[in-house]
Amino acid sequence: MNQIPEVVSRYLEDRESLGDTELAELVAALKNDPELAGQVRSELIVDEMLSQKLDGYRGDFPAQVQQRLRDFEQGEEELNRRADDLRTLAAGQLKEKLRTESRKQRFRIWSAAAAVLLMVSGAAMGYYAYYQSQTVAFVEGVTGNAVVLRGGQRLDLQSAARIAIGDQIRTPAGGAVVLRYPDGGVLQIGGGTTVGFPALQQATGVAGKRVRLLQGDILAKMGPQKKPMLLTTAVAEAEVVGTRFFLSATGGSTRLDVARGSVKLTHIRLGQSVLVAGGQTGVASRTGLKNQTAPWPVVRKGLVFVFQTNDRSRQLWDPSSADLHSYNLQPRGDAHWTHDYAMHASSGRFTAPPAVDQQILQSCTQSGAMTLELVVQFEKPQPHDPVRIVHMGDTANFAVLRRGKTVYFELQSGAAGSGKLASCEFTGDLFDGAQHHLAATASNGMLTCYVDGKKVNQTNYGTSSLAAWTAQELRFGDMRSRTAVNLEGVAVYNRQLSAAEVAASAATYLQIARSRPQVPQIEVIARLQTHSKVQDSDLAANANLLMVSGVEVLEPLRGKPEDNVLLVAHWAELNGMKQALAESAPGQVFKLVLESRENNPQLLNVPTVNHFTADSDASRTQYYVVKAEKVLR
Amino acid sequence: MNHAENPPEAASSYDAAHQLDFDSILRDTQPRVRAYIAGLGVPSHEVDDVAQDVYLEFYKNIEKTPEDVAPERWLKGIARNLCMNHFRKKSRRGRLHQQALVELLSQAESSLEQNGAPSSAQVALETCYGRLPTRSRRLLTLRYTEDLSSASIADAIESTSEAVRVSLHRIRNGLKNCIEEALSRECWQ
Repeated sequence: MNQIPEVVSRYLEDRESLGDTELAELVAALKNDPELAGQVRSELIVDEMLSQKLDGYRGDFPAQVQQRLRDFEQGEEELNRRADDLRTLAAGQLKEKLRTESRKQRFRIWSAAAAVLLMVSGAAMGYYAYYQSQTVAFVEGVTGNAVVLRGGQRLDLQSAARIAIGDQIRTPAGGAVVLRYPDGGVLQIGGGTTVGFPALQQATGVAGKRVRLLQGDILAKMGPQKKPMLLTTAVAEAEVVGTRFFLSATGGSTRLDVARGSVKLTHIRLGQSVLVAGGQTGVASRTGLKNQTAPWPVVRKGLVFVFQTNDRSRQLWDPSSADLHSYNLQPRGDAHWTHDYAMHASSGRFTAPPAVDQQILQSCTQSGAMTLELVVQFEKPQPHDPVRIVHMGDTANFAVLRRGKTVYFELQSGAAGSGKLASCEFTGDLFDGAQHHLAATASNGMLTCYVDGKKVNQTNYGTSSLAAWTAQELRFGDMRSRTAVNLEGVAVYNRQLSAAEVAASAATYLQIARSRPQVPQIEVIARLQTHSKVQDSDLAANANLLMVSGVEVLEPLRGKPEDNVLLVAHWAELNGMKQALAESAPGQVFKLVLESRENNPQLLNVPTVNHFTADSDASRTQYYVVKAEKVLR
Repeated sequence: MNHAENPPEAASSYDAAHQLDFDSILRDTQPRVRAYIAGLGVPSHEVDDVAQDVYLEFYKNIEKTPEDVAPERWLKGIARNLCMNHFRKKSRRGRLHQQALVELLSQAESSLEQNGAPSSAQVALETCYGRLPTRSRRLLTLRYTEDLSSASIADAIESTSEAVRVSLHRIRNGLKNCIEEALSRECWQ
């Protein structure tokens, strides 16, 4: 009991950090000391008051409640509608039955009544059939401010809402919508996605389901379909008879990852088709169509979590039931996507949704083993700058950390509540500007670290369980680190991958990453000349907003700029935060790293304020500011 | 005919009054109801989820609220029950202890809830926060705005996690005393 102050202190820090024994001790202590209980309660209340005051994400609580009420009302309304429809039908059928029983007694009267009832039930059935035929699916869940466009109106999308033919759903970046079809099929609509539900072809009568993916990604889990489901994008058409797949459309390219079953993918313009089977990927671009076995993840046994890049599979598996889900990563701070759709974390981080945390926690604690692999590209680090690269929560079930030039893996390895950590270092020069594959495996008390597929370190941590793990958020990047890191190719397994499996995975991913066309960059010292004028209303309406500014090149440092005056697009607002460059006064000098905006497809749908619209400006290359540092001159 | 395209039926005056009442109750009580839930040991990141459930439950049964009971008191009663349910549903591990904690904490007396007008604690917090030294405010920003653990804060300010925990405890305790003092002054005025 003499450890009670420490237990109380840890409880106040994190209500979920205590093991059973410590919780029992805390309960006993509070029971015996009502004054202590009052103090703990007061500190919890002050903690909450401070959180309400200082955590900007909690300021809109009344709006959240109003949203819940709308969801509730909408759900009730929808249920009432369906009940009314069924009641109308049932009433019609009941009257029909009564009519049969009394036919002999009052035939003439009944003839008239029957005609009326038949008309009523016929109308009800007709209406019901029409209602059914116009219903596409029902909304099962909404994350973020998703909207539905219907008959020229823009409506907030809420749980239990009915999606009808002709509707179009739009989700914000990081948002998601889950739809359930009447036959149980599920469509998960990812963030930054626009999906339409076109009218059925009259000639085919009651045709199969139809979906038009205009931008973004969807994950579909469909049972066997009586008539093929048809999904179209700008360049391709996917025909489905029952399967699980992930379809994404970016720019002029469509990518189809099939997890189970098979999907016929047709290039609309070329008229070519391929059959994409489970484990395969079909890609339709403006130039052609190809089908290949998804090269990565090389290993699928025990796979729980996959993030390749943001335009490719983002899948969450339940290894015990082989069930599949899609997820979005939520950027915060200055976190954003690179031209390869990798995570760029500098003074910011990406956070996975709770379903990811739960699945990893459940899968790995059950098996008592894990493997994490990821591909990193570091900038030159600042000295004494400890950074979390990947971590599962603040008390870190596991984490990849960097301190100076030392990068290491840390694992909660002891019994519940022990706080015991095991670690091993990723030895080698990881700061040469190239991408490196890191992997850590843990099982049977042995923690092993690999760099680029080669074993570099091993530690014995003595216990074979991961019992100390608790529910934690999976995060990529660190809000307080200004040293940038690009992350992609992340996978979590609930088992220890062998050295050969790690080597194969590393070789494959590095081959994928290194075979991509290099995006040329230029680096210049430049003086800010003029900004496009951004209105407050633009900022209020968009969490992410680009603006175009004119800069005068004072000194080229790397590469050859097109002109002495360049047009550069840079963030006015990123993840809801105003950006420093946008607020800088003309005359300020910057060191800029620039890429052609055309080479940054992730910016395609980002709203942009651009007042450089003269013909002479339209023909110029527009650059995207990858990095900006103030220079004192 | 498409139901979804029909204009919504006009709300009755009863519904409108009901909504108006609810809105003002929500606006006036939500900071304290959330603080009450946190005071029962619900983890910070789950407080708002539970609080939403509380208001939804209240909304569904608003006509059952006894006239002689203040809405805030009624809401706290709902909150207490939902907190119990929350821990019951959450996990088997530590469930009984968590429920016992809710029981104990709900019976514990916090001076912050006893004195002053309902909105006074928040007002007092603003004043007391303004009096904090810069270093303390920086620690609170790292903890609550940046959502960092003591270990991460310690890394950032080159300290130890234990020292950070103690500092945060002292700051919170100082704020609690300051708020209590402000509330008791208000009580005597």
